[in-house]
Amino acid sequence: MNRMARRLALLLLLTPAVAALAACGSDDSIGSTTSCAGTAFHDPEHAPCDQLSQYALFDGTDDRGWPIPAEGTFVYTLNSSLFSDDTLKLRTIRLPEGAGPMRYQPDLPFDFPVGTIITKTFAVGEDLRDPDTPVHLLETRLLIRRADEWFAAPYEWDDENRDARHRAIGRNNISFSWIDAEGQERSTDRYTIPARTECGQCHRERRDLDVIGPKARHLNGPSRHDPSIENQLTHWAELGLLEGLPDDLADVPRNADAFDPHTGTLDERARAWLDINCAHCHNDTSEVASSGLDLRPNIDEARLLGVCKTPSAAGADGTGGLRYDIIPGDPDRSILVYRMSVDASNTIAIMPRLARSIVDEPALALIRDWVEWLGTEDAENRYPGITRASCIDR
Amino acid sequence: MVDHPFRLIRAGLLACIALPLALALPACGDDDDDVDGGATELPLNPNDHHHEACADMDRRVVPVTTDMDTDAIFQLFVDAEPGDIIHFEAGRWQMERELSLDAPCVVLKGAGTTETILDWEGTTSGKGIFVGTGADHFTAEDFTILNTFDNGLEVRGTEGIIMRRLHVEWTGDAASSNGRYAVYPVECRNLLMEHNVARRASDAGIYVGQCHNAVIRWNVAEENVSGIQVENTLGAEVYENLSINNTLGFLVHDLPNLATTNGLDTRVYRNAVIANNFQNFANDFDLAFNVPSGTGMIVLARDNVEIFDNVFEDNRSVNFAAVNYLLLNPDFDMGSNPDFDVYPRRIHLYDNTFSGGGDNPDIGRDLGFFLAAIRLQQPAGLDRIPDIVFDNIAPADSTGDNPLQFCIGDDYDGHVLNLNMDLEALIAEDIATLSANLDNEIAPYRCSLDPVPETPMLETVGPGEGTRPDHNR
Repeated sequence: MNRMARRLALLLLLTPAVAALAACGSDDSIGSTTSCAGTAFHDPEHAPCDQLSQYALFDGTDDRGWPIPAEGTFVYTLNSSLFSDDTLKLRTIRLPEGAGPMRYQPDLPFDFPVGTIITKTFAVGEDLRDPDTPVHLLETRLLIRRADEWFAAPYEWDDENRDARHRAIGRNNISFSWIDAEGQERSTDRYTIPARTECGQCHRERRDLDVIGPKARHLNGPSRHDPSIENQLTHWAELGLLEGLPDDLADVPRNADAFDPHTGTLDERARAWLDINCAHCHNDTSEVASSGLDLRPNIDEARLLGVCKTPSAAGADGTGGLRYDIIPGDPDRSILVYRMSVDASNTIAIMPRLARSIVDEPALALIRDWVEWLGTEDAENRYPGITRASCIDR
Repeated sequence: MVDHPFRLIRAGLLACIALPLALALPACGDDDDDVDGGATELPLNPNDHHHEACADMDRRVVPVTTDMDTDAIFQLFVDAEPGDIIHFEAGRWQMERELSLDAPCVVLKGAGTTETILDWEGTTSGKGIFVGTGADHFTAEDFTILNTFDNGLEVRGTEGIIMRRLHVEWTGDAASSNGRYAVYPVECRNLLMEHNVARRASDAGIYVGQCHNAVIRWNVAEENVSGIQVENTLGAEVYENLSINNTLGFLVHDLPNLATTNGLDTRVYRNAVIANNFQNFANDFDLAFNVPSGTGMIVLARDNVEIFDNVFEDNRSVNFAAVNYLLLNPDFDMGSNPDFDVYPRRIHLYDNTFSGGGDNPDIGRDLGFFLAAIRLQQPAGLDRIPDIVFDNIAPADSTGDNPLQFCIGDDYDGHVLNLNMDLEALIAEDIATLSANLDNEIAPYRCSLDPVPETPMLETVGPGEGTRPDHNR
């Protein structure tokens, strides 16, 4: 409560929002007055605001259509990222004033102070060959750090990129089209804004709802949003936004950019892609740990990665009639590849289950190359015991 | 009740629960009249077991009325507070999407399976209801789920589940495009499933998978591929269920490559396993696809199973079989799955009643074809497959007559079909060798085992605290 009072005082001194606050001040219930009044802070325990603008995380939109991060909201980017039907994404963090920095963890998500709001805005770019393409905003997902857990709140943008409205039940079967990075016209009629209760299908890597992207290995690299930031982690440490970062960046895990050969070997890039696209479910603690597949980057045991592993409950459509998750050197007979190669018309086989309705062609090519490579001698050095003969034609 | 389990099950459960929906059900299912809602009175039956962890909660009753559409109902699920009782009135709803839930101690409550009907006919994706990891101590009771695209009710990764007086059915043809599981609790701890009815699931009707501590009683499974299925589960009490006219009545089994690698400690008693002769309509890559129609019960690769006081009747391929995992999946690679124990160990059968069955194995599946061939070469006087079939595939390093400790009680005076299979011949699918060593010798299996520990009802077992270690031997 003291912190709340301090913040309130600070705000009254610093911002022109006094009038708005005063207007609400007659209501004694703290949450309703201070949370959704267009102020620069938010009571995390309060019910989610009706409109995204009420959190004051953004300051309007720019001429391309993107939300402009407000003072105190900073952008982060990932070395490799989740594919969501080719949508473009803006990811931001806002730490509550006076609550201290986020805390470094080597492998798990960073620790964030109560009141932190993390956002991810999804947008359709008209023409992905143009880095400055205009965008149509679809949704902004909020994760709000409450005292005991993260709270998820989905917001759906209006058609004019003006504001987004809270929609806890999400929306199914959204249609849009765009031109992809290769100049191909693409479209989907099955894009999904997940409901709040569906967030946990990805965001419960360790049972409790948690963030996925803000881990050291995804953030350890240059910002793709601001080219002047050579390394996001050191930049934030210097600004006092991050504490506990090891002095030597060589001690900090770092994932490759899945599609930039300068950042890692084929194996490193494929594993980076599998990490950010799959490992939040395919690990040993999530609710689908029963599948027995573990795609976290620190796993070196070939069978846990799916090599010569029979699926546990994938069913006919889930396997395409194939026997093993991965047959080294044989992508055409590897279930992992098959499940990336189907679109949402195959609701049983498609992986990942949420977020994707069309085929991610560059990723499919990457993983095909990787499975091909797993059949080489080079791969046997990386994954001892892996051989093509170990499962083929059994 | 103990004296007449079969009568109880057939007369009681079948009459009360398994009747077609179209018929009115007088005085069945609903123990109470409609609750008028005194200020503090909750629409929960005090005679039912409830989650202790939720006992002291302030509960809200959230009504669901027939004027609500799918979005409005889903909004109630999404906004559910811990302890909410989401209370469907009598009525029928056409559902248009999967409903998901992630708050703890929530009760989904209907007015009875003939009164409250949720129909997902026409959906092209999704389950009916999905309950995720955040929704510990979940209860669903007294309603009907129809025609879901995928599983009817899936509960995944939760602690504490009660599924009670639910009816889950696909009302169209028995087709592989039906959802695979009617009720599908998986990766859970402390489960009670009672008085449920499952019909025409393309894999399993009443299913439990990879759970610790499950009590499964008083359920009816009819016209599913697999009626009642207990997979990779540690501690299960399976009693007084009726499995009738499925492809396979009961499957108690372990599958490889799952987080809970080897199930253990299952007690199966006072169940009725009747005429499970329905066509096999599974997807062709499901394990269940390989099961011949007319199979009463299979214990597959599971250890520590005590099977007593059950009634097996008229299952045309075989009434009971305890077999190696490879018998249903000969392609399985033991070498690259060293943690998975393919052998059924310490199976103890006694005081069961058998009649009919084994007289017409389904030759449409390898195992049934094999049994049919065996039937033709059985010695005089054995005109049908014996009620108990055991493959007797012994590990290479084993010694003695009965290394897997397969035990049949003294009460059993029928025959045993002992396949005496050779693992290498099985892998090589060498039928001639496989059928070379058959006998009907029961002597090695006249033995008794220590009782399997009883699984307590809804006992609180936290993560990693299971009293039964997950082990192989």
